[in-house]
Formats: sequence, structure tokens, C-alpha cells
Amino acid sequence: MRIRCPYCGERSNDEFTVLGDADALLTRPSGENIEAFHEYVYQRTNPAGLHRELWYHSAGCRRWLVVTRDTRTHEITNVAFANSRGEGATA
Amino acid sequence: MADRTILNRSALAGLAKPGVIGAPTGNPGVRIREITEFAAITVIARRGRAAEVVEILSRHAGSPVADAAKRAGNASLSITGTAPGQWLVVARGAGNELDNMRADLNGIAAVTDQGDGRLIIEVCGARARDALAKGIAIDLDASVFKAGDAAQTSAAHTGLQIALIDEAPTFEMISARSTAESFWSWLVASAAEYGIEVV
Ligand SMILES: [Zn+2]
Repeated sequence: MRIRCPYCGERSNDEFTVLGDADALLTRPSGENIEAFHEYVYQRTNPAGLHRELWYHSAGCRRWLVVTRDTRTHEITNVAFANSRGEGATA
Repeated sequence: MADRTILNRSALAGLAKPGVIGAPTGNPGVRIREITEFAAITVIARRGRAAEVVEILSRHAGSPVADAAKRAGNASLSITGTAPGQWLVVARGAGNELDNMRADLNGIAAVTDQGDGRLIIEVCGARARDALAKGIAIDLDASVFKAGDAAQTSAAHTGLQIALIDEAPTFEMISARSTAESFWSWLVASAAEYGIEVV
């Protein structure tokens, strides 16, 4: 599988480290609701189909990416920087 | 306490000895040159200041610097994008010009001296691409990786910054000093069949 990093271009997936579900991690709960934090830390869906995932380009630009991937086919339909810092950069 | 002298030794001192190694082809397909005298800094733009940093770096380089995986500059100063809003600046020689650059970037970028923490080599020759292809996964073909292009990747599991200086082809390869020796052994093993001239 290859991932097209917005900065580095198309790279082999062994340049990356995967952290799983992006939406679960990028939506941090506010307040001190212990149930919500339990969900945030431990609970993950495991969809058969489109999945937004966090991948770290550890051997390249060292940026966190949000990769939209079909878990059935490995087809990648979108890659974006996980934060706004990288906006404007092009591959 | 005994008097001690700190020796200024390049990363491949004692290893990259001038001469011909590998297959005796009569016409070495790969030439390798270690850059032994240089100074290097990393420049990381503060949030929202990348455009200003690009302007200052371009002024110092004397040519346009991009916020992208590109290498700009001249024979004595090179500026290579390594990540969004981030560059490695290398000055050949004593590197005094980096002081002015650091002053100009004060307040808009984090500038970190890399000291002698890098290995820098130039690899050229008719078989350079064939040798490098053995351990580098990105496409270095002349139709894809052009002069001024740069990439942050790995070679034989060692972190590598690579750029194409000219279409000779001359590749610039920058690696961490701490892994220079294993990087060197990979490069020599990969290029040996084409004949290597260390200059
Ligand atoms: Zn990248």
C-alpha cells in the first residue's frame, strides 16, 4: 500500500506508523465525564468500508496525516494534514 | 589534567579514503565525495510565519526557496525543505553567513545549530541511480526526480535526506552522523559492482 503524503508525495506504507481511528482521537471530550473519557481512550469502531485513520510519516516529514481508506480494498480516497500547520504545502 | 585537543573529524574520516574500490571496471560507475567542511542549521517557521521565512531564506540563497521538498541555493549555501515550514540550511566552509541568517530569522523561526551532526556526501556517476535504487524506495528516475528536487526518506532503514543537485546526475545525501558508518557500508556494498571512485 502507498500513501500520498501532501508534502512528500507517494511513499511506501513502511515509512508510516498507524494510530487508527482519527475521528475518535481528534474529538477530545471536554469536562470530567469519566464515561466519555473511557469511550475516547478505549472504544473504537471497526468499519468494513471507509475509515478515517491517523498515520504518522515517521521516515519522511514527521507530520500526522488523516488518511481516508477503504478497509476492504485499501483504496485511499483522501490524505490531509491532521493539523492546520501544514496547510498550503504541496507535494 | 592533561592537555587535550578536540579533533575536527568528518563523519567518514578514516573510512572514505580517496581511491578506487569495488569492481575494477576501469571506469568507475559511481563517484563519492564526502563534504568535510560545513555548518548546518534547521529552520522551523513559527505558526503562521512560513511566508516571511521563505522570503528571508530566498534573499540569502539568491534564488527562490519554496515551502516544499525542494533544494535551492548555490555552491556555498543550500536550503532544502524537509517538512512543512521546515528547512535544513547547509553552508559549505566555515558557515559565517549563517549568523546573519539567524539574526534575520529572530522571532519568526526556531533556528537550531546542527553542528557536525550530519554526514554529507555527493554521489555521482553513470551508475549512481542503479546503486541508490538498491536501498531507497522512492523513484529516482531522471523523468521523476529532477534537479532541485529533494526528499526526506530512508536508505536501508537509515534516515536520509536526498536531493538532486544536477542532472549529471549528482545526488546530495545527508544522514545522521551517528549512523554514518552503517550508511557508508550499505552504499559501498550497493555500488561495488559498478566500481567506485572515492574523491
Ligand atoms: Zn510526509
